[in-house]
This record gives sequence, C-alpha cells and structure tokens, in this order.
Amino acid sequence: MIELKGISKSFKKDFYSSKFQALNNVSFKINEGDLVGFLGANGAGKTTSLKIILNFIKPDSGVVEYSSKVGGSFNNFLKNLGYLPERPYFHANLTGREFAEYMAKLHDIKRVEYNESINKWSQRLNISHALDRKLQNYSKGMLQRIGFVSCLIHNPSFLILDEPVSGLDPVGRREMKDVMLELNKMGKTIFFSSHIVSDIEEICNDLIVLDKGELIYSGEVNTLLTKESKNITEAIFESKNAENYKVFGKVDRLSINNFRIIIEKDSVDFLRLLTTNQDRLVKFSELKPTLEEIIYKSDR
Amino acid sequence: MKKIIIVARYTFSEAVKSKILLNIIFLGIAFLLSSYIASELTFGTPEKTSLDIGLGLTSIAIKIIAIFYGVNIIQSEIENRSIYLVLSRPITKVQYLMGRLMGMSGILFVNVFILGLISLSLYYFLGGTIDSMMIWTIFFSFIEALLLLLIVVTCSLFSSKVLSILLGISAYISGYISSTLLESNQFAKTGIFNFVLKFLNNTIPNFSRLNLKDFILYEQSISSDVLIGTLLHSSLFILIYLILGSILMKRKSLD
Repeated sequence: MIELKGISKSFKKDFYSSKFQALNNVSFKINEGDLVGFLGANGAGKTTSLKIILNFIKPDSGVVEYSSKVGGSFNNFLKNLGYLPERPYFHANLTGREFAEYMAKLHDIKRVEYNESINKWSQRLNISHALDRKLQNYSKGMLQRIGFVSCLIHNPSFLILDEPVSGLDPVGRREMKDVMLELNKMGKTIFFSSHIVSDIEEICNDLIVLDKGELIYSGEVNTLLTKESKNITEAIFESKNAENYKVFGKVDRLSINNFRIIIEKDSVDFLRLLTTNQDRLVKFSELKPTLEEIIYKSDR
Repeated sequence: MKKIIIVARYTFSEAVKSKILLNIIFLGIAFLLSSYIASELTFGTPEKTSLDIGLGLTSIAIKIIAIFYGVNIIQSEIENRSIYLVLSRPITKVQYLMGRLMGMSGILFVNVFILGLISLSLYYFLGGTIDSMMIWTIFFSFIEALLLLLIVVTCSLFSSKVLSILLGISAYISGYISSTLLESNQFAKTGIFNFVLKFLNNTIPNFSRLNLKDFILYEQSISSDVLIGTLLHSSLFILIYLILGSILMKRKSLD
C-alpha cells in the first residue's frame, strides 16, 4: 500500500549548529490489511517518518510510493486516510461535536453519514457524553478519544496513529487497543507508532523498528520472536541431591526439596538423569524471550 | 473554494468563541465616554471630535487585532500541531492559509462594522450629518487592517512570532512615512536613503494613503480619483501579499 524507499532526512536545530541525521536510508513497506507497529525509542525517527509519509516535510533523499489501493497518489491517499498526531492540541474553543464536524466537512461527507459515524464512534470510544463540551475542558484521554473519533469519521481505509495510547490510563489503553483490533478486523490498515513494546507485541502482526534513524527490523512479529528464540528451558524438580544437576546450569533452591534450573543447552541429558535418579519433575517449559527483550538487545 | 470557506467558518467561529469580540464592548464604552467628554469640553464642533476619536480608536483596535491575532493564525497552529489534523485531510496548504485569512478577515470586518456603526451613531446623535465619505473612511480602515494582517501572516511563515510582530509594526510605520519622506526635497536626492525609501515604497503599501480620516474632518470631500486610486493601490498589495503568502505556505516545512 505504502512504500518508503531510501528515505533520509537531516535537520538543523539552529543556523549555527551542525546537521542532525533523523533518518538514514530507511526503507519499508506497509501492506494492505496489516496492523503494523512502528517501534523505536524517543527520537528514533518515528514521527519524522510519519511526517514524510504525510508530506508535512520533504525528505533529503528517497521517495514514498502510494499504491493504487490507497489512491495511487498523495492527494488521493488523503481521502482514504485517518491520522491522529502525537499529543494533539485541538481548537480549544470548539466543542467536541463542532471539531468532529469540521474534520468531516473537509472530507465532503454527507450529513446522514456524519451523524451515523459520530454516534457510532463517540459511543464506541466512550466520549459521547462530552461531545457538547468545549475541548479546553477535555482531559488528555478525552482529547485522544475525540481525536480518534475525528480520524474515523469519514470511514478511512488507512489509519496512521502516532502514539495513540500514550498518556491514557490502563482502561483507556485497553479500549483503544480493542478498537484498533476491531478496525483491523474490518479490513482497515493500521500503522501505529509507539515506544511501548508490549502494546505492539499485543496487537500487531507486523513490526517496523527504528533506532537512531536506522531501520533495525521490518517484518512479522512472530518471525522475529521465533528467530530470536533460543533453546532455553526452565525446569522445577524435586530431589534430595541437587548437586548432580549443576552440570546443566545454575540450580536455585525454592524449598527444602524443590529446585529450579535454567538449561541453556539440550535438555535431554537432564531429563535422562532425572529419570535415572527417580526424581520428580514438577514443571518443564521453554523460555521464550519477549519482544521487549529482543528489541532492547537489538538496540544494544 | 468550498474547503476555504469551511476553514474560514471555523476560524471565525473559534475566534468569536475566544471572546475576541469583547473588545467591542470596551471600545463602545470608551466611545461613549470620550464623546461625552468631547461634548462637554469642545467648543463649536463636539460631533467632529467624537467622530475623530471614534474612527481613531476603531483603526487602532483592529490593527492590534490584525497584528496579534494574525501572527498566531498559522504559527500557533504549527506549534500546537492542530494544523496536522487539518492538513491530513483532502485540503492543500494554500487552501488552508486562504481559509484562515478569510476567517480572520471576517473578524476584522465585524469589528470595523460594529465600531464604525457606534462611531457614526454617536456622531449623528451629537448633531452631525452622515455621508458616504465616512463609509469609505471606515471601509479603508478595514483594508488597512487587512493589509497589516497579510503582512504579519506572510512574515510569520518565515520568521518567529516576535519577529513577525516587529516586522509588521515596522512595515506599517515605513508604509506610513516612506512616501512622505520620498516626496520631501530633503531626502529625494540622497543616494542610498533614496533607494531604501523607493524600495519600501514599492514593497509596502502606502498606509497614509488609506487613512481618509483627514478628508472628512478637514476637507469635507474625497474625489473619485483618490478613491479609485486608493482602491487599486490596496487591491494590488492585497494580491501581492496573497501570492507571496501562498508561495511561502506551499514551501513551508511543517516540522
């Protein structure tokens, strides 16, 4: 749907300072119907990439290609796009309803469709009670919700969400993630930027990782997890003499006869010895690294 | 055009809700007070003094609005990131700029209209006779503020807020005095100064030309040549600043 090819971008903080490389030859692709997580620490280049996709800033080199499924050109892409910026500040003196109506009018949608859409999404995102309040009286979470409503008001097929769950309470985060999953099931492509790895691991099927302006990974979340999985197992067992097992790894005593061992090599010999000694196996499981552990390791 | 009108409508609505029009109430009270004082203290023509104060205050009030609100209509939108919400919809940067300008012009117009109406009403109740010349004066007061708005907004597209305000005020002062200085014999033949004055005269509207207050206070008439000339002069500069603003906005990086 959207492909970034060799994007580089540098900025100058002020006239006298040297250039800071925000993005360095970054290429990745977002496919139709995917829920793609865009991961990176603060300052990794996520927002700069999004601004380039949205044509707010021009790259120093490289191109962004929009496939025919999103209109084929940038201008047509905007008709199919719903965008929620990071920490958006809306027109404080407008009410939530007026703001959503303003955004809807820019898409030329019919009154009936607007009414249907605002009712549906304001209820789904639990903001319908505050639609007639001025935006200056909204909390951060409420602003995030009304911003999301305005993203969905014209039924876009492609959503770009920049840190949509940051600053929300746990209930709000859960709701937002549920709505994203629901939208993805409806066939919408979602490109969702975050610096919180667990959020992305939880809901995304694809992942793009940036670090200091460089692309670190682009592909499926599961592929990365499988690729980075090592043959590490955890065993909890009962034994009167745990000394015999120290050759397989570090043994920790949990209670008088209960021990825990982490085996970083083939565990068959351990199991064989356990059977020979007639010791009892309480728990035996493979230890998989979390996405967070993999990403932080990649960062290093 | 539809998109421009949508942005203009919400810009206007937002400005109205920000209580910007409250200045009308304060200035209205100031008009009433000044007219009362004028009628008490002035010998002979209190209505003219009242009109002079009324038109003067109207002109100052809308120029302040043009400068201090004008500098925010794009700059603050970028700083607050609210511009991203609009420009990620099917609307161009230039359409957005035009909409913001149109909405802000609407605010200036409402201000001029109401304050002008108050001034003329007071003038009438103090015994003055209203004629078309006064309407033209109020209209050009609006044009003056509109030009100042365009200058400040154009400056805000390539410089900071503070610098834009300073540039706007400087442009107003230069526009007011450059033609007068150019016409005076003292500076007309001095090389560099003459060049600077000519440059200012060609790039900044002649604001003194737009101030028709003296005609109604002292000369009692304005020739159609002066009116047409002033209208063409201001229209030309409005067009120049709209084009310049559009070019700058189109090229502006929203980082």
